[in-house]
Amino acid sequence: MPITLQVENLKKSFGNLEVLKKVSFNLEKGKTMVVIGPSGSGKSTLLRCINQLTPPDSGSVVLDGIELTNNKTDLNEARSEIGFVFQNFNLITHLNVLGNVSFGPLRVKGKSKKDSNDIAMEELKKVGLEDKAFSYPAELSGGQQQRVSIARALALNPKLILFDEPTSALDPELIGEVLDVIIKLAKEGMTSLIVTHEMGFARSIADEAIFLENGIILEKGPPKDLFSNPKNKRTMDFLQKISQLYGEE
Amino acid sequence: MKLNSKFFVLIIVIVLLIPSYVFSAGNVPVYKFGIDAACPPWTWVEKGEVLGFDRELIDFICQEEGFEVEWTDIPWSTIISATSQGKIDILGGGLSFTFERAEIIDYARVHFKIGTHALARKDSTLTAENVFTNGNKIASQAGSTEYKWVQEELKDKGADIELVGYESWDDAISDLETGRIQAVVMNQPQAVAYSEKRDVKIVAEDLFVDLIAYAVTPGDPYNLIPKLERGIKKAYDSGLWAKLVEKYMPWSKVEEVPYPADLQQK
Amino acid sequence: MHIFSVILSELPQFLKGILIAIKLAAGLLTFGFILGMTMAMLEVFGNKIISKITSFIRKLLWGIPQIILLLLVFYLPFDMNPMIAAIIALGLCSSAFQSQIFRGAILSIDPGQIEAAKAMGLKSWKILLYIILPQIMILSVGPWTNEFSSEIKDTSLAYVVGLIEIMRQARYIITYTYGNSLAIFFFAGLIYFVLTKIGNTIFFKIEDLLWVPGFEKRRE
Repeated sequence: MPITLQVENLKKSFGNLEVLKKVSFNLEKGKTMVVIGPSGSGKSTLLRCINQLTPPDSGSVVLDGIELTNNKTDLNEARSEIGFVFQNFNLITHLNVLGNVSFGPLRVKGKSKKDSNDIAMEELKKVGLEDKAFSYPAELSGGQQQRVSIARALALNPKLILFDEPTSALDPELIGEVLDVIIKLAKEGMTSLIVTHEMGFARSIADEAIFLENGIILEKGPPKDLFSNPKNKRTMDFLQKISQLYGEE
Repeated sequence: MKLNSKFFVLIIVIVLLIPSYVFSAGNVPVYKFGIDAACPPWTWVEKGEVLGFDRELIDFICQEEGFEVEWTDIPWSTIISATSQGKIDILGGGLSFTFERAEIIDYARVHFKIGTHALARKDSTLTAENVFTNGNKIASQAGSTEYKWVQEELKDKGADIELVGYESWDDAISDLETGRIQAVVMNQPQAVAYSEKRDVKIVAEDLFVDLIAYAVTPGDPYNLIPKLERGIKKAYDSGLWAKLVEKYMPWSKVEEVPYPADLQQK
Repeated sequence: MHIFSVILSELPQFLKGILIAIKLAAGLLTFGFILGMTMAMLEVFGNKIISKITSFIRKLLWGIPQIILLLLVFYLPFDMNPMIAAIIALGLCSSAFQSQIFRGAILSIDPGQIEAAKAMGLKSWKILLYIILPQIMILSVGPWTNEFSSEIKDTSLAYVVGLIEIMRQARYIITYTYGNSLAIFFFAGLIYFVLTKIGNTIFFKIEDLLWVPGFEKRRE
């Protein structure tokens, strides 16, 4: 399987605080990788360093052969190949749902209005929201907004989608609809990197899982190993704590 | 998006309107003639037209001397400064000659002598003897020679009065009518006009003589003083002068104009 | 009553003054808009030095009385059409107020959307044009209506540079009719009131047209 994402020796500090301390991993095409770990472990920073929203201090990020960490690379071009789903949805307030989802193809990729809208409607169908095309973000529930945000990411036809704690800002009863969409995408072969606290979801969807603590990958492996038989004691502690808080799944 | 197209329409409309803000000139030299347009009988504006003694005289001079003027209305408080700086080319409309002003603007020879009167309310019991006593409030237009006279010849010399300045003669007359002030010291032509049209009367006459002359920017860059003086002389010689005096200031004497220059020497 | 017939016969003159006032208001508001928007952008998005300089200029213009600015522009050493001079002077003052409005609008835009746009690979100028600008418009219409009302009234100051607007026309009429100052000034005041009301109504309509769910509604 070709490697879509190659992350090597990523380091990032904020002032005196070293948040990422030499993180390396590969993500194969079509696979879903899940990142778990305690708060402050650097999970969000990791995602943001990948698409350079937060440029890393050192290390390299290569997407499908293109080195994102190289200044000569056209960053905008590269970013349009990566979808990013934020914890707080970040939909564009003054555009309706169709406007939001068609925004990428229309403004970033320069497609025609008609083509952009067609693409947008298709993606909206995938996430089950085609009947909300003319509603505005403020009129939708959190779960709906997040699904629109996923449709928006899909509209770019990306090589990779990064999910930054996609359900952490949602009311519990809305989490399911978003997770269902993500699972569907994974099944269809979308290369995904997901940071999440939802352990049951993580275990079921991941091809590979990473446990990140204090900026270091303490453990990496297929979910049946990492979740059931963690090699590292800290991983075990974390999983136990989480299952106490959120309940076994 | 509906927002974008509205935006561009707005921008296009604005760009198209810009030319209407700027206008072009003709081919005869046009000079800016500055007046504080609410100053009859010299000038006033009726239905958009500048009328008055100065209007007719200047129209005549323009024709004789081959130039045009653009009537520019600037408030009295800044008009002398504007002339001094060249924002106005010719200053008129009842401008008095004073030595102080002569230091910052260049005067042509005097072309009119007018008296100054004091006005009181029609039912007032004031007379020429007691108007400037008793702590009376005496008003005049701020910055005018009348104002200066009251200040220097009355107040500074110990007269028991309060001096009040107004931006316009109308405001002063209005306050005189309501009784807020007791008297207004005003140039003769306007005093006569107001005494006929409003509830005021003249109680003191010929307080001092004011010399009226046109003025230009220092250095007379466009050589206008000779043109003005020639024009005034031609107006007198042709009989136009007598006609204008009869029309606008019938109580005045018709004298040979312009007056000799030594009138303006110290 | 005599005064009514005077006002009636002078209506064309008042109309001339109104036209001048409207032209002036439109001109100065546009000038203030362009300058104000530029200053707001520079102050929020510029680097530290630019931001500080712009902030200083804005505070300077805010603090100078309009009459003084009018006289300053009028006395500049070159010839200027009084309308242009008034537009520049009053426009400068207006730009300070308008830049405050726009700055407030920019700062209340959720920065998350801008991050999302960046993450999509959208170029900065496009982010400005397609995300920031439209939202500035929606957020600014309300407060901007206040500025509009204020500037309509400020056009009365332009008589200092020789512009024959509403107040000056009123003076002319008072002078040659030897007339009733109170009534004529009252009528002039009425004119300003009507102009302001009409303008406000138009802008409220615009505000309604621009509004989408997700933004606060000013009235209802």
